[in-house]
Amino acid sequence: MPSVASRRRHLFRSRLVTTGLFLALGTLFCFALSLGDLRLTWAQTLQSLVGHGDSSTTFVVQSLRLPRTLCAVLVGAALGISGSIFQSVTRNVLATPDIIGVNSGASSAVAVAILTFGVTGPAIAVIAVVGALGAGALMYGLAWRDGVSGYRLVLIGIGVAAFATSITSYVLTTKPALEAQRALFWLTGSLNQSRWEDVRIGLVAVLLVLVSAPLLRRWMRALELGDETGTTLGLAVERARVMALILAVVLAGLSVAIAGPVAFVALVAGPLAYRLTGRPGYLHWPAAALGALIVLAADVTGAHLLGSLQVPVGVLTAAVGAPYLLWTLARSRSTGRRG
Amino acid sequence: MDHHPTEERHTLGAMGLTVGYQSRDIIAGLDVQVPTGLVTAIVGANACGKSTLLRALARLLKPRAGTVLLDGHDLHRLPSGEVAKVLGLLPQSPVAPEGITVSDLVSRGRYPRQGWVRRRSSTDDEAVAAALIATDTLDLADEHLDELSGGQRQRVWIAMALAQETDILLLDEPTTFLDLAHQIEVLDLLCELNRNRGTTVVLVLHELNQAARFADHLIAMKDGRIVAQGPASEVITQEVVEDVFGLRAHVGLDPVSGTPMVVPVSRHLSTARPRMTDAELPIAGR
Repeated sequence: MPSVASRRRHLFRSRLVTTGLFLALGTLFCFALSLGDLRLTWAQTLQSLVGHGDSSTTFVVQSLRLPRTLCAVLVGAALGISGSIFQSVTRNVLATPDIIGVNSGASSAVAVAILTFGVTGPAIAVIAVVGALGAGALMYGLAWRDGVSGYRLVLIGIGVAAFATSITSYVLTTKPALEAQRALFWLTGSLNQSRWEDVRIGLVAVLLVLVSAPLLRRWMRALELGDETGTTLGLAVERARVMALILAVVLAGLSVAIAGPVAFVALVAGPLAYRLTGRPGYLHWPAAALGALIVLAADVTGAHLLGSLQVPVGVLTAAVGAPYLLWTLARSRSTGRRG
Repeated sequence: MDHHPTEERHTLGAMGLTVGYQSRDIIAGLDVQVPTGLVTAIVGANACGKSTLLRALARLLKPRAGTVLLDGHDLHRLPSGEVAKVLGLLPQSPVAPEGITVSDLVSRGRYPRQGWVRRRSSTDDEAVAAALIATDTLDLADEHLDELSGGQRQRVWIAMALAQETDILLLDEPTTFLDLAHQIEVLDLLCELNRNRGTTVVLVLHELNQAARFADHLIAMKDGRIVAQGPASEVITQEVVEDVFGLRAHVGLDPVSGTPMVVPVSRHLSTARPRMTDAELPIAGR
């Protein structure tokens, strides 16, 4: 049966690409661990990773480098999946948490919490998620009109993002320069401060990503065909959409809690996964792997490969992502269309 | 193909149905029964509530009062996954992700028959292949949906609905964006489906002559009410056409199918250039 053969061929390519992406991620992960003032060989890196190296390299790898590297992977995967969910559910490539105000909502909530109320520790993660959910609920409420159109959500989302950013700016201007400077560093998206506590926050995201995988992959097949066809296929469309979006918003919020708002990763991971696998629609693992690869590559580049220059990860992703956004806007037909 | 004459056929109808949008009721207190195993066409002027009725029957609209009955049970109380195995719908403007291939789209019609654990089986592959063959789209399996012609795309969407293997299939104006040849092609396909699989087909149609030719049963609607229903020979009369469409017309016989054929009388023709008198026109049943 040719129809079967054709689908198998597509499936094979997408599995091959996914495997390749995870292999690349593993390699980059080890490479990231070997870099730094103390340059390690591959053998030393792997040995200290499993605890068989000498005590100093094991300390450097496990206590200093591993948390940051893990955080990069977790933040990237969370953003990649979050963005893909948004893009699939709204059927609009621009409706990602970094463009519409989800990340801005999370970061302004954190900025207010840190600068005004002096909050520290794991409470920040909760505040970030609450901020993301608040911004998400506000947008959904404003955009809802017998269902949510992607185009409306983008426009309203940009408004919400501007509003959230203005709150952040206001809080920054009212504080002494030194404090504001530290917050500003975090607000550009940085993994410099990442510690094991942050990895623990990220594990919540990992758990969500694993548990939701079969659920999302099934729902999206029906949800991507619109409300009418989705309902016809037996999916409770509104419930599935709201749950998928809540998950996406929580993932975005957690990523902000760890690294601040890292821009453009959520935007590019999904479309890039489509380009590589040739399969349209929601791709759970490729989007996760690509998001992780992008953030890790940007962090490695910013921290080690630009000589003495230390560039926060968010600056690099923005520097690469912004031209991509402009290119998407320039060639896109679907952004102006309803739905 | 899958014709199960012994199997109990599913029935669809509505009692006291009231549906509408926002503050307006489009249909109020409507009773209707879809004849099982036949092709039914719902016809009427724009905004007469025909699409609304179809959407309510397909559970896309929740009734404000009354019930839609599937096998005698309230449609909105039945588990939605079970309903999806019995009742299919092709919306007027369906959407799909950009770049989706034909085989991917059609295989999504199997959604209600797949679960969390059991994802894809040879039964699914066979149903997808059968749907592609029935709609003559097997050659297109690898193509991207956005690159097909309007007629091909519509056949692919019907293939997706077929892969769902529902006993009842509802279609909202399936011929609207097609040229005449493709309109006939789609309607032929639906009649074959009805004949070969015994599927109950309900479609909203604009073209009265096509409805008369292809449907076994017609439902003519006006202002949210049913004005007439039955076989074309009973429904398509001069009086009904004038009442439903506000159009003066002569009803003759379709020279190909022998079913009623509506020939509108326009102000332009009847006053400016009369060619035939009423007595000369071929009248149905004469």
